[in-house]
This record gives sequence, C-alpha cells and structure tokens, in this order.
Amino acid sequence: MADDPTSIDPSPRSMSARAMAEAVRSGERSARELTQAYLDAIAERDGALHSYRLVDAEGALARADAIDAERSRGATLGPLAGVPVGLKDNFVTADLDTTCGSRMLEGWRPPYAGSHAARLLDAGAVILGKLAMDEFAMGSSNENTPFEPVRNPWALDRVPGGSSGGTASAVAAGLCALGLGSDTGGSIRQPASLCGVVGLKPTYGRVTRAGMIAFASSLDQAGPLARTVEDAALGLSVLAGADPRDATSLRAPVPDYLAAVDAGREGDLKGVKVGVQRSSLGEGLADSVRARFEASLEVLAERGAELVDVELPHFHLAVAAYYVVATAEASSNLARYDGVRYGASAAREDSPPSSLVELYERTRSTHFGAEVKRRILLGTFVLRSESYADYYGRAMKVRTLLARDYAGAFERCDLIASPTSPVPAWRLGEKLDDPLAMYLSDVFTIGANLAGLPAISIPAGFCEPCDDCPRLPIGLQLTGRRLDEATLLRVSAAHEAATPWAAERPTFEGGQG
Amino acid sequence: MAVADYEVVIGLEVHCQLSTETKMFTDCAYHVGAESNALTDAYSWGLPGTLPVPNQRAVEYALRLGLALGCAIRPVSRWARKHYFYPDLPKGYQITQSDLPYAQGGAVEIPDRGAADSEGFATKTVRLHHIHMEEDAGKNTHGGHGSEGLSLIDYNRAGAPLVEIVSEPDLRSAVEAADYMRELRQLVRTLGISEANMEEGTLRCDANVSLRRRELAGSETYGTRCEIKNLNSFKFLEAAILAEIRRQADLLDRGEAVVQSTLSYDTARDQTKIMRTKEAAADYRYFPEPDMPALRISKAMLEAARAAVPELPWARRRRLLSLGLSTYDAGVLSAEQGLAAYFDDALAALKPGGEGTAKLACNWITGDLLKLVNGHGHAIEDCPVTPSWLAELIALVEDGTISRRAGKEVLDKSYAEARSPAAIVERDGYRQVSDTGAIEAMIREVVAANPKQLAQLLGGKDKLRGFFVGQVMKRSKGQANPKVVQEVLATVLAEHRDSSSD
Amino acid sequence: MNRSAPPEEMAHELAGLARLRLSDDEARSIGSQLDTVLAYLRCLAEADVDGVPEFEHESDEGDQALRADTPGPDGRVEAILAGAPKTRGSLVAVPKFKD
Repeated sequence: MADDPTSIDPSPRSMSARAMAEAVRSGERSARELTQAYLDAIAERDGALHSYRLVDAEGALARADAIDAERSRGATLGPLAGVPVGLKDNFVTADLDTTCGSRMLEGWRPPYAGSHAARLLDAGAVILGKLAMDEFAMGSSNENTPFEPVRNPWALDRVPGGSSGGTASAVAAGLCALGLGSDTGGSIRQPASLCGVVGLKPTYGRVTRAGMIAFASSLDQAGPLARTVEDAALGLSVLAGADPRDATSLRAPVPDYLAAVDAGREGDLKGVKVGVQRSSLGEGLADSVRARFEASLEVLAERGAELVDVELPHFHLAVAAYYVVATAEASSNLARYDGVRYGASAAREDSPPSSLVELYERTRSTHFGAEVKRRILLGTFVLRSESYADYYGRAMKVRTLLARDYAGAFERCDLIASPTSPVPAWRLGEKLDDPLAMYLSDVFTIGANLAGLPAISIPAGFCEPCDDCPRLPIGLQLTGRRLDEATLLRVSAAHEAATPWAAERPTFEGGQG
Repeated sequence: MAVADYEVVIGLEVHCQLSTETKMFTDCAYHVGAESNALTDAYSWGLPGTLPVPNQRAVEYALRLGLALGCAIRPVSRWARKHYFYPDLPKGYQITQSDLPYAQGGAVEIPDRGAADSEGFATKTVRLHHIHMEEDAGKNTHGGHGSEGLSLIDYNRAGAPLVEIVSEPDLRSAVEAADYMRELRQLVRTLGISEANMEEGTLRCDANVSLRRRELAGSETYGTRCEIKNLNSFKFLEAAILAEIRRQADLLDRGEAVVQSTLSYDTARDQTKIMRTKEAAADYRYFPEPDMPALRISKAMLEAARAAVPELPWARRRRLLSLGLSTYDAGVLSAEQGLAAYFDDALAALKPGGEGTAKLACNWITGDLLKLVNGHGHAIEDCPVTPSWLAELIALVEDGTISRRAGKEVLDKSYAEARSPAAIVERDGYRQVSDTGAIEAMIREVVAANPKQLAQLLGGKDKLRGFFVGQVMKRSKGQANPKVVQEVLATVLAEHRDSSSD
Repeated sequence: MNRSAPPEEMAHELAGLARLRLSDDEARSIGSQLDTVLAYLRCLAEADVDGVPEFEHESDEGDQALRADTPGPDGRVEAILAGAPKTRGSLVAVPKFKD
C-alpha cells in the first residue's frame, strides 16, 4: 500500500500524510525534505494541471525549517508535523493572497488569520500554496474562472470537477499530501469523485466556517480531500471542533476518527445497514457509474453490511430548493464586494468613477464572472419581498421536509449509499453553455448540504475506456447521520481495504502522479 | 383650515447604543470619540471570511430594557439580514431582527401635560410595537477641506450594538415626542445600559408623522405618514416635527395628498425635505441570518436580567410622592439614580421613618448637600459625606445636640475632611448647652447687668426679649440651645414681673 | 417586479438592485437563462408545505452561542487600511454622495 515505507517508490510523496507526520516526528524524514519534494513536483508537473493558484515556496520552506528546528529542540510536534498541504483559495491565509477564484479578490492579502489555516499550522502542517477553484466556489467543473481552468490528471482535456477542482486535481496528482476543500452542494465530493480521491464533507457546524470565504452560509462546510480514507480522517480530526469565531460551529466532542478507520480496515461491517434509494438511480445516470455503484454495494455486502431500500420522498425537489437557498445566500454574501474597502475596485483604475453608483456598478460588473452574476441575480430575485414566500420561504420549508426524509431513512439504515456524480469527468467546455444541466449534475450531493449531514466520496473504480472516453475514476458517496462521520469513515475504510483503487495514481503528459 | 384642525399622530423609532466594551457581533473594542478607524477589525470592515458572534452583555442589556418596559420576551428570536448598498455598511447588509424580534409590546409612561392634575403627575401610556437588537453602521463625512468631491468613511461605529425601540403611533404632539425621548433617555441611563447622549449619537430617533382631521381622533383611520430621519437633538426633534406638521397641514389645506416619503430636516431653513418617496423605497430583501443560530433566551438569563432591573424613574417618583415629598422634590430626587439611592440610604439610616423624616432628609440633600456636591464638581456617587453620616448629622440637629446653623458648618467640614459629623461636633465643640441650670445662671447674670433694658421689657417693650437672648448666646459663645434660653428666660421674666407687682 | 416582463427587462431590473450593470447582450442571455432556471424552480410549488417550518440547523443543546464582552487582540487596522482602494488619512474615500 501507498503508506508502506518499504515501497519501491523512493519518493516521500508516495507516503500517506499520517506516515509522513510520523516520519517527521521520529526524525526519519525532515519537514524540509518533504516540502522540497512537493515543491519540485509542483514545479515540474503543475504546468499541465494548473491546480495551484499560488505556490508559496519561500513561506513553505521557512515553515518546514521551523518545524525541523522545533523537533531538534525536543518540542512535541502535532499530528500533521511537516505534512505539506494545499488550501483551496477561498480559505483565508494571513498575509498570503486569497483570491477565491475571482478577479474581485485578485491580489487581496488577508490582514487576519483564518481558523482553518491556523488549525492546520498548529497541527504542524506546511502550507504549500493556494489551490484553484470555481469563482466564489460556484461551479461543478472549475471552468467558472477568469484564470486558466484546472485539468483532470486522469485526462487533461477533462474537467476535474468543482468547485474544489484544484484541490482534487493536486491531491490526485500528488502535488500536496492533504488538501482542504469546501463543499456547498458537493464541491468537495464531486471533484474527489471525478479525480479518484477521497473527499469528506462533515456535518454542518462540525468544522468552523471562520476564515472560509462564504458562498452560501447555511450550506458551506470545509473538509479534507486525501488519497486515503485514513488521511481524510486525520485531516478531519485536526479541523473539527468548536470555534469561538463561528457561532454555528458545534461543541459536540470530536471522536477518534482514526480509530474508526482502523475498525473499518480490520473488522467487518456486520450490523451496518446501508440504505439505497433505487428511485434516484434512473434517468441521467451513466451506465459506467451505475455499474461501479452496484459493484461497490457488493463489496460492502461482502464485508457484512446489510443493504436496505430507502426512499426520500422530496429528493426530486432538492436541486430546486438548493438553487434557491444557495443563490439567495450568495447574493447576500457577495454584496460586500463593492470596491470601497478592499479587493478590486474601479477606484484603482485609470479613469476613476465619478459617482458612488458608478463605483459600485463598474467594480461589480467588471470583476464578477458570468456565473457569479447569474447567481447573484437569481438570488436577488428569490429574496425580493414579493417572491420570498414562493421561492426562498418555500425552498426552506422543502428543506425541512427533505431533512425529515433523511431522518426517516436513518431509522431504517445507518448510512445511505449513492453515486457521487451521475457521470465521470466530462470534457472542458462541454456543458458550459447550459447552466441548468450543470446544476442537475449535483443531484446526488446537494441533499447532504441541505440537511446538514456528513457525506463522503471514495474511489469506486474506473469506467471501461472506449473510443469516446478514457479510463476515468468514479466515486461512491456515503451519507451519514448528523455528527456520525465515524461510521462513514469506518465503512469507507472497509471499502478501501477491499478494493485496489486507492493505490492507483494518474499518469499524464508532463508528469506522473 | 389651520394646524389646529388636525390631530397630529406620531410614532418614534429610537436607536439607542448599548454601553458595552465590544461591538455587537465582534470582540472589537468600541467607545465614542476615538480616532477614525482606530476601533475597527476585520469584521468591522466586512472582510471576507469573518463571521458574527453575538455579544452576551449586549443581549443582557437588551433584555433588561425589554423587561423594564414590560415587553414580552421571545424565548427564541431570530437575526435577519437587511440589504442595501451604502459605503458605511461594510457587508452590504445590516444584521438586525425583523419578523421575530426579541421583545414585543410593552409601554413607556410620559407626563400627561393635558391632564388637569394639580400635582402634575398624571401620566399617559405610549405603547411599544417591539424592540429589536441590531448593529450600527459607520459614519460618513462629505467633502471637507482637502477632500473636495469625496465622501469619507469611518468604520469605528460600524458594528456597535444598538437596540431600536419602535413605538405605536400614540404620541400626539412634538412636545410629547420630546417627553417620550426624555423618558427613554432617563430609563436607559437608570438601567445602566447606555450613555444615551443625543449629541454623541448614542441616542437617535426617526419620527413618523401623520395628520388626520380632528373628528377622526381616536379612530383607527390614520393619515399618510412620512418619516423624518436622523433627529439628533431634543431641539431638532421638536422643531422637525413641527415643521413636518406645517408641511402636511399645508398640503391637506390645499386639497393635495400627502405622499408617503422619507424626509430629512433642514435646520437652517427649519423645513423638512423629501429624500425619497415610497415608490423609490428599497426592497431590503430580509431573510434569516444564516451565520448565527436563533437567539435562545434561557430562563437563567431572563431571571438575571430581571434581577438587574432597578426601580424605574416613574415608579420611584410615585414612591417619593407617597412619602409626602412635593412634586418638585420628587422630581429632583428621581432625576438621577444616584441621588435617589443616596436619599433612600440616608432615610433608612434615620431612625424614625414617617413623613417628616423624609421631608427633612430631602431638604438637607437637595439644599445644603447638593450645593456642596455641585460646587465641588462631584457626582453624588463621589460625595465624601456618606448617607449614614448625613443621617447622623440630621439626628444631631433634630435632637438638639447642635444648632441648625452649627449643623451647616459641621456638614461643610465633614465634606471637606471626609470625617464623621459626630467626630467634628466633639472635636470643635459644637455641642449646644441645654443644661437649664447653666443657662439660668447666665440669664440671671445678664438680667442683673442690664436693669434698664429689663425695666423697658417688663414695661411692655417685648422686642427686647431678643436682646436678652442675644446676650446669653454671646456669653455662651453660641453654644446655648436657643430654645432652652427662650424657655428659661420666660421663667426668669415671670419671676421679675411677679416681684415688681408685689 | 413583473414576472411576465421580458427576461432581459427582468435581468436589468434585478441588476439594478444588485448594483450590477449589464449590457443589453448580457441582459438578453442572462435573462433567458434565468427564465429557464425559474421555470425549473417552479417545481417547488408541488410540495405540500402547509404547517412546515423553514429549515434551521440543529445546534448544541443549551448552547446560546454568545461571546463574552471582552475585547480581543488588536485588529491590525493599519494593514486593513493599506488594502483599501482609496483613502484620505485614516478614512476611506469614495466619490462624494449625499446622505
């Protein structure tokens, strides 16, 4: 397995994050050595992927040296000691550019520390840089960007998924040992699925939102992307827990997620009930995805899990409810970008605006991309006093119904299995002109966001290559009870232990993962 | 028609800044009068990634106010976002409360100036619609010297904690509106939750004004209302409402309709000016604030807030009147929480209660003591003469140990030296001589020394009685108890009368 | 707003509220896309939501999510000010407007 230190691959990049931290703590590897290996790989290979928006080589090496110095002083190092990580560019990093994938924040250098970066650094992590994303996390393909779109390392003409596409691509290609993403409607899980890695969206409130640039506040959650379930568990254990800077963060105690992974790897799944909603597996589901999904269910059953049918009666309304709630909150959260206090501004241009309205309109029209504008306008529409009851109010009630559907289903099962994305990675540009088709590709992931439940996407194999399509990864999604990330991790680890997918790495022109 | 033909209907929306250490939703320190933008942080600027976390003390203060005003406190209330673009509004929305505010109903009592009550203490009830909490916006200044063509923004105030107290349209004149504001100001100061200073902007108000024909008074039919924004002094509050009444009466007289609008008051022209009409009114796109859970008020929090509500000004005034104090005295004592507390403590330290005692304590406090306190530029809380010392002094005068005049001197010394009155009386020998034997001896000496005056007095020139008292006082160096001197002198004179008529 | 208004008119109107300025071309394309999405969103009307409350996330029991009234660390005002597009001294400057 990848974390076997006796692996024939001499590169430290083949180690798991957990093994890396152990090696740094024991002195077997230095943080600098690990960091340098990743910086070299990025320099060599990211030209083909564009997964990084910003690489902070100098900062990363300085940080690595500081960790090595701490170790030589005999200090106790954290659970991510010396582990090189990449952060999606919507996470605030003090004094390090945070762009959120938008011209609106190009060059913005946060004058305060975000909680996620702080927690990772406290755990000993080395921040390599910031990873590309759809503008303001709005998108499923990473094409909603004013910058170079990110490529899928399994097929460079394909999208990596979105909006945490840069993170998924970098993790898959081994350009960071652990990645941080955010998930509003599937933005961690869908790119994880399309890039063949593990992506975990925790329970709403399990991980702080302070220092994560908001897209839709009641849906946004930060979470790890990793090559293995174990590393995702390690990442979550560092990120989870109450934050006094986020009133919606939960104080519930954080369980031992690594123990859950060990239990899944070593034990069976007897007594675990896995729910499947057969009615959701109809129209629009690619045959390859269906085949891999059924194969995964067999794997779980072989390990002792019991499969039960469940039904979420309001599932078919989830996409509509999601687009009302997400755009409403986005239109509100993005009102602050007005060119007055920070970020891009018409006031910085050669012909400064002559009126306040011109300052606002020029700044916002020039520096927001088309999808962001579309969503702001839709969100503005659904919040207008005359449409509130029919749209926002109604969507929030449908959300309650959907949450009740899940609660009902969880009386019959411990988690719900589904595909993560109805299709494998598509070609760049393929769906760009049809926003609705793009929105519908989120059908399996948004339920967890609407109901605030934890969900994970894990590698479930590859589609059979054909003339039209290369061999592309496919993901399995597991959605769990509120605050029951441990069960998700346990079942995921069992699936991972029984399948060869975690060990497969992409090869692509310009580099081997 | 004239203004007198219309009934004036006014409702006020009062913003009151809570005197907490930090802002409503961020741990950034805040107070009035700092250098521009010095009291800001990432949240105050609406920087990406920042989140609101409510201030416990601000919520406690708001609860105190709601309870003091008799509002119903909602166990679960909700924060909401109100959207509009303005440079002083850092996030493009204000966090406030809309459909589910924390406090509903309640009332404020104001003096009823129309009532034929000789005591002047009839009150009128102004009902409240609700009270809600919210965060303040920053402050704009426009095109000062060196910044022509620019408006400048200071975010210090952005995020400061506010309560907005929204009344029902129960006020009927500009004077009542000002009375209402004064009552609220006194209340929040008594509660210790706000400086409530209109000049500094910690107390502000918007006035909704409408007119209706007199015959509609008391009905549920109201005229079209207009809102005057940002009234920042008592003077302008009254003047602006009067100006708006003139404007609306004028329109109605001419048969024109009042258009629902938002106005500002031009102090130089003494006129209200329309800023925007209802058609142009913004759609604030309210929705529940997703960054914070609903505000849940626990029983313990509610009880703690209830315990922190002191006696309210009007309740205190009623109590003071019931002690037999005059309207004037009750007004003076209840104006300040500290003064009333001083009075209560002094009264409690005076042994026999009763009407006379209250009046006595009040006279000493509002007279000699306040003169000293004000003369020294002190607050009553800093007064070196404690309430129990004052009570001691009053007792010394009342039981005749010292004279009233000596009492004033003792008070001065007690204040200056922070020493108890009893100690000063002993040290400086203020004790009156009330021993009738000693006084009688002195009187006999004086009578013997002034036979001419005695003859005249006995001859009917009664005015000379004062001469003898004066001589005795002189001889006793002022320490003789004048009352005793009078009594003994009467006895001695009677003896002389008897002997001369023999 | 008139929902039956032409999509581009609706787009312009919404843009005004959101302080975005759209070219006529943009208004046409965004307007028709909005129209399509709004038509899709009407499926929400199917749900029987009588008596159903709007969704709220569960929070920790007994947690009021309130913060002590104690000032935090310094807000790095200078760094924040340095990021502002236009300033005059320690004030933020915008084109003059009327309150």
